[in-house]
Amino acid sequence: MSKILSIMRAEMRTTLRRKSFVIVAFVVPLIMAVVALAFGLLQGTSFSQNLSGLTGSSAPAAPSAEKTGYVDQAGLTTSTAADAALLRFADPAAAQAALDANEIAGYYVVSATYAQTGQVDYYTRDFSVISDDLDPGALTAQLDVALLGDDQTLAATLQQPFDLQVNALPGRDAAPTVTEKSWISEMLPLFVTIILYMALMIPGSILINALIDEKKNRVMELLMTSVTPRQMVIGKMAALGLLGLLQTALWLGVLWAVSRFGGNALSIPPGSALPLSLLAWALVYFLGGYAIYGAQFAGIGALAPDINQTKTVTWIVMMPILVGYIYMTSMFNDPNAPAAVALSLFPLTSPIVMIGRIAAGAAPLWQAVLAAVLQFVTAYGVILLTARLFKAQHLLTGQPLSIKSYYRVLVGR
Amino acid sequence: MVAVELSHIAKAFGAVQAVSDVSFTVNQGEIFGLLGPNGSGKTTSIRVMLDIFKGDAGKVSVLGGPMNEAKKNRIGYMPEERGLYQDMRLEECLIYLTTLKGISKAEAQRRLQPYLERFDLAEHKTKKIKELSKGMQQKAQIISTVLHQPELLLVDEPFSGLDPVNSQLARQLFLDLQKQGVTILMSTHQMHQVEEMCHRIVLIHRGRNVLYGNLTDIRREHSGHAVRVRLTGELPPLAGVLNRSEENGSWQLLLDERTTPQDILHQLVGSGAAVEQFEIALPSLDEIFIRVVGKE
Repeated sequence: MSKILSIMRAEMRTTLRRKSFVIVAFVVPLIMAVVALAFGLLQGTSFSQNLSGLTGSSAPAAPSAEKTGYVDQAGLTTSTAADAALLRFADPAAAQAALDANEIAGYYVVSATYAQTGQVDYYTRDFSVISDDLDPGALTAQLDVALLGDDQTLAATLQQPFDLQVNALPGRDAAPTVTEKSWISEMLPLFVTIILYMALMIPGSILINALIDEKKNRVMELLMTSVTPRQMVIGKMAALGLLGLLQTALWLGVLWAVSRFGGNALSIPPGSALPLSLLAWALVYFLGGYAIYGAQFAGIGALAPDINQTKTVTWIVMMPILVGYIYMTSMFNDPNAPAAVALSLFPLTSPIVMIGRIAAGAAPLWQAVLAAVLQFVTAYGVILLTARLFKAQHLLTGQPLSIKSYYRVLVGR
Repeated sequence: MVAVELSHIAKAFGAVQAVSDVSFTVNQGEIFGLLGPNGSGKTTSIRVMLDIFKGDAGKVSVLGGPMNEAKKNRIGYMPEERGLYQDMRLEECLIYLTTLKGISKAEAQRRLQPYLERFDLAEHKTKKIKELSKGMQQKAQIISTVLHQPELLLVDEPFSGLDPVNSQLARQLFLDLQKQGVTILMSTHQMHQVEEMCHRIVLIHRGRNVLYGNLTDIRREHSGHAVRVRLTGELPPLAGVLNRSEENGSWQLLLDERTTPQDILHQLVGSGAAVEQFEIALPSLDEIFIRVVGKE
């Protein structure tokens, strides 16, 4: 046991001295957190203004800095009710004159039959389909107030009909409790998928490098007369697994901190903080996924005489997790599709697909548990298989590595 | 007491028979020479001895029985394919390798300093291994082999890369360890080192023993029935001498089968020659090595 601890300590020291690892694991998430919060603080004022406009008792904010005109042919609104950004005109000709004189950006014409048909026409010279200037919110608010007999409170309620709160029922790990949809809740599956993918791949590639470095430095034979191949691999895998776990926790911690403290500054509604259960599941799936892929990567490192010969085999071995990653980053808006459910249970893809589905609030507890169990059962099998690779004959000889030779040794031929 | 015993071991890698039949014993506290040309099976024999490879046949006994994990801590091994962690600092690397032999970090640290001073490496202990010269790395390798105070030392070409001064340092270390009771199995191509340090040897060629035993006996067996004589004045005519050759003032006389060295000594004394040196002419280990391996 003390030898495994010695190997772990040495491996952790060596890895923590790798600039690339420190940058990816620690520096990048910290910089991202700082940048996100700084960006949020800089944007804070304008967000606050927009929010007050949306939630205040007065009419909605002006759609743009330029004023917009309107002609109320239905006679619903009064001139005193007009928003500061909305100019009322008696008829379309007057509005057109103001438009020609560049006093307004455009004007609405509320049809005389608006109460029955809801027809409103908009006239402008500079219409663009990608422009977001056309926002009839202010006019709609005016018309709603008018239709509701000047009851502004009722009109405000109409604008925001209900305050949606989703709550997890006891015994089911459903979606996080949020007060409304926000960018962070929509992007969460993508974020956690990327984090898990990186957390699985980075320690794995370091593991391959560490084993090949020992061959390159010609210390392998020396090590084999001090420790067993099993002690060597367990020590290395455990060390890099711990660092990977730390890296995952740090990245998720940053995500959690941004969601928890970003608040209005990052346009994150109150109550959007990531639930700790999601973080716990992420760590469970990291361990399962790392055991499956780390063992295979260690096997590749044991067989390969140099790093260049690992590339093709590594690519093949990581193909399933790559498929899961591509699926989740492109299709995460439909986390309950049959393919998503299947990939989230298949042990080679589940580490990142299932965490993505949990983040999207789409996975019931039994599926989450089943995925974890299948992962650990598979990991056990993979470790037993890859143990065949850690023999002196493979560790000490520098035979070329190919897909064929890798799988031939793996199946014991 | 026998420290190591190999009995008819064999090992093949696919179609290649690396070792066919190697047997020898190493007595406790001796320095034993394991010799052989390149590719003769020395390294494979050592690896089978250390259980790095499982032998196909034969029996191995190390430190009183089969090799096991616990015995790894009692053995120091400097392999032919050796190296150190190039990016680690010298002190850190040596301590780490020693902790893998079951020694605590503090104890390894305590033992290391005298060795660093003895091998003139103390001022380099904070340097990375890759910043050290080849000779310094070799000395570091020797330290890492002995720092955990093994009972059995297996060293493969321990003097490679060392200048005469450092070779002497290493030789003295091995002799000191032998005095402390450490058994040393040394594999080297430097025959003069073997002649100076080893009492017994085995010579392996093509995976088999070709010479084995006490070094003096082996040299005597290969003496070729000759005597070496140094005297003042001319060498008198001698009966029973097939060939005479002079080298550095001494004569080497090759005798016929019926003539003994005593016959020659009698003739010399009888002729009144002033004999300064008279000895059985023993071949050097180098000569024996070349003769045996060449003949094979």
